[in-house]
Amino acid sequence: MTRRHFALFTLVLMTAALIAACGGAPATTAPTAAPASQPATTPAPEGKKFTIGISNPFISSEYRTQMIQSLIEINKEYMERGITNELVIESADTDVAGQILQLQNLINKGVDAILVNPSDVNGLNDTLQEAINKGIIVISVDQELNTPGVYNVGIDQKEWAKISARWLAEKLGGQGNIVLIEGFPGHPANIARMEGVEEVLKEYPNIKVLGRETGRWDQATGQQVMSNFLASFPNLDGYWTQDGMAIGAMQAVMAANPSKWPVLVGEGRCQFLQLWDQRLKEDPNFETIAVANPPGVSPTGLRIAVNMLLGKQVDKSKLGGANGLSFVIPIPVIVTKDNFQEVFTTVCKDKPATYLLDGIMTDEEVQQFFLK
Amino acid sequence: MTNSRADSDMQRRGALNGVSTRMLNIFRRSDASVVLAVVILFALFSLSNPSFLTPFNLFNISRTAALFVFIALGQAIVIVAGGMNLSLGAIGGLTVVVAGWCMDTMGWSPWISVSLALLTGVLCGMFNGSIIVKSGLNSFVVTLASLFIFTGLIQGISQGFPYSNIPREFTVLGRGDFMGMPYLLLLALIVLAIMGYVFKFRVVGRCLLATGGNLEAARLSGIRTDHMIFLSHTLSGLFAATAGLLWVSRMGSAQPSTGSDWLIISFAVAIIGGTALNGGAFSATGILASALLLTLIRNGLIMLNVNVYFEQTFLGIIVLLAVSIESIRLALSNRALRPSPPAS
Amino acid sequence: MKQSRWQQATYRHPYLFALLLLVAAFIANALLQPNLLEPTTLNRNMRVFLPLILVAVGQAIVMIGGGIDISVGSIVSVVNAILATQIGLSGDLSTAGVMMGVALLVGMGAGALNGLFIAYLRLQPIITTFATSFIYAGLALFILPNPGGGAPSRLTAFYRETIILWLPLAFYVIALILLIWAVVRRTRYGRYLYAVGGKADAAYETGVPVRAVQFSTYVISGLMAALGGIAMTLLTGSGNAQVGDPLTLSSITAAVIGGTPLSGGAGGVAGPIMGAIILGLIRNIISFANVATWWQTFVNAAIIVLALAMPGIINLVRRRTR
Repeated sequence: MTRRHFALFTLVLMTAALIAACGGAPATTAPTAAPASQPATTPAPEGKKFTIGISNPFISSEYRTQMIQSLIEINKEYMERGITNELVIESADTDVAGQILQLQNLINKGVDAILVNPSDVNGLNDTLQEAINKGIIVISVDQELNTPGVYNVGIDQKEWAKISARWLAEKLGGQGNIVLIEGFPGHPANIARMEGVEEVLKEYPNIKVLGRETGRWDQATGQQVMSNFLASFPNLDGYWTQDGMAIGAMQAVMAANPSKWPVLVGEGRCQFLQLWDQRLKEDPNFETIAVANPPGVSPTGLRIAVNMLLGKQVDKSKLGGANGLSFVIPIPVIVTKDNFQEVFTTVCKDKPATYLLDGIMTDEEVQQFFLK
Repeated sequence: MTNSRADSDMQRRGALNGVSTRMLNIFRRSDASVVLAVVILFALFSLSNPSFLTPFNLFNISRTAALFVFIALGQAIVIVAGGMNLSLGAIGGLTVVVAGWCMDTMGWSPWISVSLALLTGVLCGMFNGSIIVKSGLNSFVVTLASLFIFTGLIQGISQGFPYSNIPREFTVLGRGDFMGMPYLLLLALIVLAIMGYVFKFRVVGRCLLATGGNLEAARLSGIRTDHMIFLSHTLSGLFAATAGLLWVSRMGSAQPSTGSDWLIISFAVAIIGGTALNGGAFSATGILASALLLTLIRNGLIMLNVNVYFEQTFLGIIVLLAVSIESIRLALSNRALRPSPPAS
Repeated sequence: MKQSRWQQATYRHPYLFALLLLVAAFIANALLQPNLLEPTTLNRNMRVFLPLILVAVGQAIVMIGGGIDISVGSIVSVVNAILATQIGLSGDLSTAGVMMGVALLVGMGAGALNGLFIAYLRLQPIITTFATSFIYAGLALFILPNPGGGAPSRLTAFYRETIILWLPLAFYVIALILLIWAVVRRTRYGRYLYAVGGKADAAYETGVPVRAVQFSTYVISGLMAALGGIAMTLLTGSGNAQVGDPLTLSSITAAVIGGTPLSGGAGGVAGPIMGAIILGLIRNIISFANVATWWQTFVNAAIIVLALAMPGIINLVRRRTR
């Protein structure tokens, strides 16, 4: 009796959980669902509305979350103007095969353009080619792909890394012992960034790299790795790290509180600026650099996709990259001691600590990439 | 006179014999070799790296080892009772997210948040335990399924965002110390002592061991094996939750990714620490020593500048070696004790 | 006697439940995605499912023999790393053929190492393959530290686009597996396999070479994982040392959904194949049902858990009413 009841109970519980989760769907997308009804009253001038699909294979990161949120927000703008339908978002933690499935589903749903944040350099090539053959506009955001026919929208990752690496090298006066904490080894963005760092360091032969370790773009891992470095190399003069790990690394330094702080680089995130502010109270001469890695490149990519769908011609002379198909987005904010107070007190004032310093191009700014 | 001399001679020989067998017995115990390995590694690192013996490094090592102890206890308590818990890391992650949500999003006091987070862990463990007991399914399948569920919950609740607004008073536990000894280590030692005591001298402990050693025999001798399995999973949830909270306290922020690498750590520390895989054996010293061992190895790999990804490969090799040695040791001692090996 | 008929049916056809689930998932999918039955759409889906199908078959054979193989995902990664580095994007077909042969041998070798530890050193399967999974993962990373390399597009196109008589390539692969299994099952080896998984001690006493059979299951699983790795490489056309990671748990899930009990001695190959397809279809259904992003993982998990638990729940209810 009890066993049977238990079994039924489990069944009911699970079904309820399922229904709850499905039912939760409209609730969380409510902000986008509401304006969706508006175009019905003000029909689009040219009839057909475009559908844009998003494929994102990794969700456990603030960057990706902010990216998806701002994509939904920017798309709302176009929905109100009657140009686009609601976004079709395929976003879950998945592998290459899973992302291929995501892309195939987007193709099958008949989207007009796909924004993809690729999980692999070559793994999606054939599938993206199929989409292009069907006349779908494919834009790779955030990471650069060398697939023919695929447009890229993103910052120049190599230059991005060089800015903070050069700052570090100059701050050290061209000599000293440093360590590097990198992101996922093998990830396209990480490869480009580390190339940039190596190029800069080549110019400063007196800077010695004692260790290089991955912090997996994860704050907690970055903190652990930095603690270990600090323990292993007490004579550390500085370190270079990037996104997502710089907060953890600096927290490790704060916890260890060595008599001589290593020169450190930061990241463009409000939480990091908080740490910066905190440190300034103890050491008014403290200096660091935070270069924004804007999730806003994706909504900028959305704007570019919409303009392309509207039939505007891309000005190829404005594009860069290996295939000449890359829209290179300028880095929106670089925080140094000169503008720290300004950014910290204005941008980060009413934002959560997890907010990444961002910049989304306006529709007008995007026009620079198109022929008049 | 002659007689008494012969007597004393005999006694001496007997005593010598006793000493040597006792020595042998010590080495036959699996935790002794781990302790030895820790001592050797410790000496090696101290001699080769001047910064190893700095207070900061020792502080750091002992804190990490203490966290490993809790993670390993979560796995060991289930292994001891004859099961395993694949969802251990996910329970830890869920606890972290719940704690972060309470403190950051809701702004509740650490006391309430910690209680709720611990409750979450315990409930997760009870969920595993009750399904295993009621359905009679293998703990592997059940915890595999709950691993999926808990991970889904973590992502659903946190949406990938870490909770960084953790009150300062909560981080004292993970960062502070008592006369140079980190609170974390102190806590780990106390809990280990309690567990060692329970398994050695309390009925509950013996019943847990008996359940894992031979389920049928334990049931026939009147032990409520169902209760024991349920208890072991509940405690596993509690330990996972504790580890998760201590992790938050140490990091000063609640990361949803916490726990994703706990599985190999939990198995490695528990098994190397002498928790017999087919259940029925537990060693508190062994777990402490193997937690230290793995921390030292990790520390050493970083000093040797080895890619972090290979660290897990090393763990894999060590675990494989440990179980191989254990298996050979078992075969040898079985041969020595009994003419025929028992059916496994 | 109604209950016992169901019992007999599930005993004789362990995949019966999986079949029901497959039909349900298929109908749901076809409703949400009306062109599912078109050959190109079917092919697009099946080519993504095939790597998991192959790995799940190997996993099921180990499980029938009373073991479990947690290293399959890492073997897939090793094979992917070897193929991507040795063939390359512009490699010719003859090197590709040779390297695939090498890959199969590597897979079998990795399986043999597992088998050695488990069958002959008598180590616990879960821990052993868990440990070797990290060792093989390290090997894959050693061969291919950074994603890159790949397979020539002529080769990937064959895998991706072959449709014979309206049926995708994957169907012929599945048919071949089922055919081989039907033959093997009737041989002495097939009987030994079930005997070893069911009651190793009893099998030993009746003269079954228990250790050799256990050993062989891991070699087969390694071989199937290598085939899965080849399929994965041809699907993605690129190399990534972590590509196989998610396949381990999925293969076990597929095997269990397909009616293979962890206790061994029962189950088959048809069930796991269906299980693997079901897992893929579930992902599709979630995608087409527009579940909110953050809850996709959870909904996916809940459905899988339901599928995993269903046979147990049916058993429970049946046991009570008997």
